Amino acid sequence: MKKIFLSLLTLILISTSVFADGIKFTASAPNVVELGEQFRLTYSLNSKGKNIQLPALDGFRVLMGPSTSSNMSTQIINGKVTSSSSYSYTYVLLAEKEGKFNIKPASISVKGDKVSSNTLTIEVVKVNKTQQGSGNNQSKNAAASQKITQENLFVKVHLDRKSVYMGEHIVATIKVYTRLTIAGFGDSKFPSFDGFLSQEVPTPGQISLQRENVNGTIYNTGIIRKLILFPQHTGEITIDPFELECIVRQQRANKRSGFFDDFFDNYQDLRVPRKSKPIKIRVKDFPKSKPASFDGAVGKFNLTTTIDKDSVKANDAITMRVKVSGNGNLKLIKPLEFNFPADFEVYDPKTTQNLKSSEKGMSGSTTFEYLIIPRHGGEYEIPSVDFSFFDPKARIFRTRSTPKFNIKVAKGDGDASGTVISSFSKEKVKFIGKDIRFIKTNEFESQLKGEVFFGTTNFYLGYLIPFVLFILAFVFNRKRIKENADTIGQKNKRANRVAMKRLKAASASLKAKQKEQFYDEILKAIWGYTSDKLSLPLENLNKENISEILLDKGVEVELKDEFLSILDTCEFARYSPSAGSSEMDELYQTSMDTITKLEKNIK
Amino acid sequence: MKKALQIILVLFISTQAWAQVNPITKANEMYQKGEYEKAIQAYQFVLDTHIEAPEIYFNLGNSFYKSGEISSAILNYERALLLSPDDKDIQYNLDLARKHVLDKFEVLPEIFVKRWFTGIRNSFSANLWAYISIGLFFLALLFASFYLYSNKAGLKKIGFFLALIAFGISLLTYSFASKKTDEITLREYAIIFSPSVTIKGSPDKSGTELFLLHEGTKVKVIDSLGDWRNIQLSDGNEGWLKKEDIEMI
Repeated sequence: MKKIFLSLLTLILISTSVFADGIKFTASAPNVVELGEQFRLTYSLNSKGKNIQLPALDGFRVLMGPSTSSNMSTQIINGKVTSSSSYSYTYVLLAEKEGKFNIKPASISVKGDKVSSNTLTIEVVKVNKTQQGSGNNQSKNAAASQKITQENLFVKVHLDRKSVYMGEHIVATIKVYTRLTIAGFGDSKFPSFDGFLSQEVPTPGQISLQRENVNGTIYNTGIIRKLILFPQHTGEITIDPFELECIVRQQRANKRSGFFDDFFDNYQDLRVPRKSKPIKIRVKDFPKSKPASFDGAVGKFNLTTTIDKDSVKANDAITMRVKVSGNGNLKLIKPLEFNFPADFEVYDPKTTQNLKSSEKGMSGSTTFEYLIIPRHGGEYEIPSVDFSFFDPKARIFRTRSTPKFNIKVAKGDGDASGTVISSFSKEKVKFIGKDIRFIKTNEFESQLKGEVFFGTTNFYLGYLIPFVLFILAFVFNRKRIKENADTIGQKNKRANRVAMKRLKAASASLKAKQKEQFYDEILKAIWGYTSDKLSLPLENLNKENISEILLDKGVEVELKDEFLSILDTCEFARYSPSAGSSEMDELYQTSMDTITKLEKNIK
Repeated sequence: MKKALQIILVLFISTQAWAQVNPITKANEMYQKGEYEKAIQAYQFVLDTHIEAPEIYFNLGNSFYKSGEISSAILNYERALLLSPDDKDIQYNLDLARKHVLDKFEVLPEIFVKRWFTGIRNSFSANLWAYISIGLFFLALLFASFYLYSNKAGLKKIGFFLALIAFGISLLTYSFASKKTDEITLREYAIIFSPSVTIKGSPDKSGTELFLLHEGTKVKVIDSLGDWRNIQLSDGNEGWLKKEDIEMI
């Protein structure tokens, strides 16, 4: 128990000392006051301080102060003890002059250090004549009893700009303005914001009313909602009216005298619907000089591109991150289109957004994560890609580029075999155990590279030599036939002459009275002649077949008989001694005639 | 002098007498032991001396296949097939190697007559076609002499027709030999060697990217401009790529 108490105490001590470090000295006062109105200027400090020193308060008179108050609180949440103490110094001021006044920082010393507060701006407005009453309490009462009119209670969609570029942000604030007592708000209907991408700016959950000067009238205003809008197309875009039901607390007009009635029913709540006016926004198109890589990004961005590794094995994944950070329509930025090497497998980029919406627009970052898988070995290059955006403040396009990445891809472990398996798996059973055929180990003829038989001289000689031989053989044969033909012809021609020669020799023997020789010569002449003339060798000729051959050759029958009779006469006379010279003369003459006739007859 | 050296090497490799020190035999032994890298070096040494044979290319292709370099394997199988188009082993291994190539193409349909013709043409090598052509020419002359010298009319007729037919086929085989020789000497096909190549629409780095090819794909080179080559695929598509991405067969 004691232990717990001790630890609690140390905790308290530590936490207070921690608080002491973050000393906050803040000034607070209403933004707008009426001329002659009394109001409070409060300085609060979360520590104990001494010697508060006020700045010179021009235009204001200090009516009272400072009145100090202190406040201590201790919280135990889940066993954690936090304690805070606050001191406040309150002055009551009176506005004396019209205009805007700056209240310079006040200072206070805390444990010897001088701490300064923030600066305040207070606008002093001259009281509107239509407005009744003066003084804080009175005006409140007056407001409560005022009639519900459009001037006293209205809603408005407030835009910080009326003319923007496409994609540039606009801050739209939906505000309620009232000079009545508002008990709360009922149903509301927000505009659809067609033509815009809208993003809500977080506002405190509770609607707190603040004083604001609108054309010389002081209203209590509350921000219902705050949005940033990004126009999606050019031209005029109309924002639909905003509808809100306000619950106004009003004092009953007919006062009753009843005690209880007075006490309970003095106020009544009225539901008052309000509708804002539609607003038009002019959305301008971008200047003409649009870069090719511009894709609608508007704002001010930075581009960082990283790659997790630049040398991998085939089929290993690479992650490339492209981070666009800055302020603008980050939500609408499209992934950059890289010109990846064609053989890379690239998946659609994963987009992660880390965005924050505030009155200054949307800020944060959008990251695109590209998963790349090189499928084959080699050296590849991911070329640089431009990212362009429009800077609406400077009204120019700016371009950022990603760096160029060189990627070395080594052949993967399963590069070759992997594909083999995939192609083999198509017909698993069929291809099991399939291998290339073994090398050739036989003896073979090798040749010089580029050596071809076709077209060489030897090749053409292969045709030419047989052809020449063929022609030569033909020519030679023709010549031989011709020669053969000639010898027969000559013999034929010469037959007559040879026969006459023989006959002459016969006549010589006749004169010499050599009987036997004479007949011999005649026979030789006759036989020789027939042999030559008929182109038949002598051996084939005899008395038996000669008549047949002669008839075949177209010789007349009388001539044949004469021819045969000569032969008969010769053979007979040769061996008979009685033959006279006159007979021999006659025979010689007949032989001459027969040969001459035969010469004419045999064709 | 160099020529003489080469001729000596040709003899050296071809003759069995030297088998013990034959570099091809040595390379084959390395292959059998599974030392594919060394076998590759040995085969390539022989090829560097300007000696070639379909068997050397085939064995080199096998070594490349075994050491996982598919595009080199395909290149050498294709070279072997050029020299020996009717070899079933080469065809088989090439088909197997092609299964590792990523790109698959629809082959443009050909008229069946043309396909048939190409089939016949590919069944023999250029040299064999040349010999066949010469042989048929010789036969044509022989039949012609039948016609000229025979005394019998029937033999004369047959001789005349056979001579005509033999001469016609000789002309056809001559054209086959000529075409196959062109294939060997002109070398218009190439194999892609880079792991992946983007084929451009024009011979320029900024050209439109048309399609993607991977290593091992066979392409036909139809034009060139500086460092760029215009290639055509078997499905008819065309495009440009850098010279260094391909290796001519």
